[in-house]
Amino acid sequence: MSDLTKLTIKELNQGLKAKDFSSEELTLEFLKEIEKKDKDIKAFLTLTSEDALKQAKEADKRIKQGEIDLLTGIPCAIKDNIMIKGVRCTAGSRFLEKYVSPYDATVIKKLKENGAVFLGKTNLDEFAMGSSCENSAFYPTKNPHDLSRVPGGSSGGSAASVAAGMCAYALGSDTGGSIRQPAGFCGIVGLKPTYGSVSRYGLIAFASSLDQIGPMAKSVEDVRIVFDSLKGRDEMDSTSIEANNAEDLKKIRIGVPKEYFGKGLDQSIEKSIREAIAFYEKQGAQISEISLPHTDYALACYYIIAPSEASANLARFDGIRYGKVAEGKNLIDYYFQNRTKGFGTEVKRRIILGTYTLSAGYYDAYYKQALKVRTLIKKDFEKAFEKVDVILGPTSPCLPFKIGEKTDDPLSMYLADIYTVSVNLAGLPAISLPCGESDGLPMGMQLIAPAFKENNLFITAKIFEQKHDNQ
Amino acid sequence: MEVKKIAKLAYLIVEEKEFEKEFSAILGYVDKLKEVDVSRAEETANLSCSKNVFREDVEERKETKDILSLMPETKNNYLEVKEVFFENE
Repeated sequence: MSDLTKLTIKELNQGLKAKDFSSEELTLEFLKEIEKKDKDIKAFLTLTSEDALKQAKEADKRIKQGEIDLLTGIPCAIKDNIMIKGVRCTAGSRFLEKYVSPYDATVIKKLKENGAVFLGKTNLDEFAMGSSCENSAFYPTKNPHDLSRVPGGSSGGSAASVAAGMCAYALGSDTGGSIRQPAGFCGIVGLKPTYGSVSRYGLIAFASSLDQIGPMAKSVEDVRIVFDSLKGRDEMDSTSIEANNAEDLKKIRIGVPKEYFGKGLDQSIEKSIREAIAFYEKQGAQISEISLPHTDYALACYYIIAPSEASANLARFDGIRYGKVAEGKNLIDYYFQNRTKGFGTEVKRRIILGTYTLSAGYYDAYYKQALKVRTLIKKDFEKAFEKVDVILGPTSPCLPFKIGEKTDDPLSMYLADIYTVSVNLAGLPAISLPCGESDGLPMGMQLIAPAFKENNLFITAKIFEQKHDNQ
Repeated sequence: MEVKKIAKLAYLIVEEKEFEKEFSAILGYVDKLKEVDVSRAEETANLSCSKNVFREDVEERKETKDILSLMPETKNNYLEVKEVFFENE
């Protein structure tokens, strides 16, 4: 039984069906693994062991009656900006240190209906703002492959918990790469779905026109299984829609943007991406070089739009209705004291930046300009997808960096998101999957597809994954 | 950029010189957007495919008690806030 924590969702589902083990036994195995490993990795902010065992017993009852869905009885971990009713939800912030979710996020409601087991809530950069998990108000999470390095961010706790076998799968959220980059850094698979394909109700908002919830797991098929259970129209999120993405692909056409191989890309990553391209070519895929001319502006565009939206979304944190962290002489002073004490440095940095880019006199020069560049970035992709089914490139320009290496230089930290942010600006789906290792550190490959064509990603990613399984 | 003045708009207190150096680096970086010819581009503020989404206007919340219990100060099941009008010191 010792290797249950290494199995995929599909394998676990088969085992539960065949009664090789129960959900309770499986849950206990994961809890044991957490107890053993998480004192070093620190992926979890809150453990819900008792609830998990109750949910596992319920799942076992369902299984006994033959009512087993693919996710029934399978233990997962949830990023701590997604609400589970009755469980603390901090978003990695002091402000919400004692906040207990009064309701379930829609994705949680859906997983509960499938009989999922929730082991706990995972660490993140405060309000999902960061690329390393070091901006958590509580503690940084470590990369399971090398404890001196970051797991990526902001969904670093979710990525590390999957990579270390402390859960079968996890949910993350992705505003500029927060699922894909940590998936790449931790050697797992992570999907950022199309904007609107998964409900955001119950996700603590960072930048509402960019945020998406998505799955992180050990295999492409697992990610697909979880995505299928999350997606769909939800009345509580008016941007969510029902989309049918079951189309097949006959001959895969892959586009490789020449702009993705510029300076700043780690050589070992470039080498493994080039090898992946050669592999696809050998498999009969049609490879063509494409151009996304506005790539160089995506990061600048993102770092105006995301902070602008964040400054508005985070105005609600004033300590009045919840999250009081300080006293004040009067109402205005109360706002100042609470917001100054409640937010960490990176969150303040982005609120001030966003307040600036939205302020009178700068709105046109920064925010409006960024919205127009966003249109051009979106059009670049639309044009490229007239000729290709997926776009292939690296997930991150660098390998997992050392804890503390980039904390003093926010701009160099932002550059870690260079390949991922444009996907959010354009609202497209993208997947990161492992494409090798360099000195024992995982590398990620990113595939991008047209809106609502997640299936293109699954089909293309599986071909590559099988190659690695066979080696 | 006058960091202190902007921070005040967002109800944040910053120390003297705090953030100043990094903001000039970040703003210097994002300034490259000004090079882009946007004369023919519309603005994209959101990507939603849906327009005018309607729903029934009915009260559905059942978690009032849980929400009340998160409030720092309450009185007779109402949120209690500090007085809004006060004399400037």
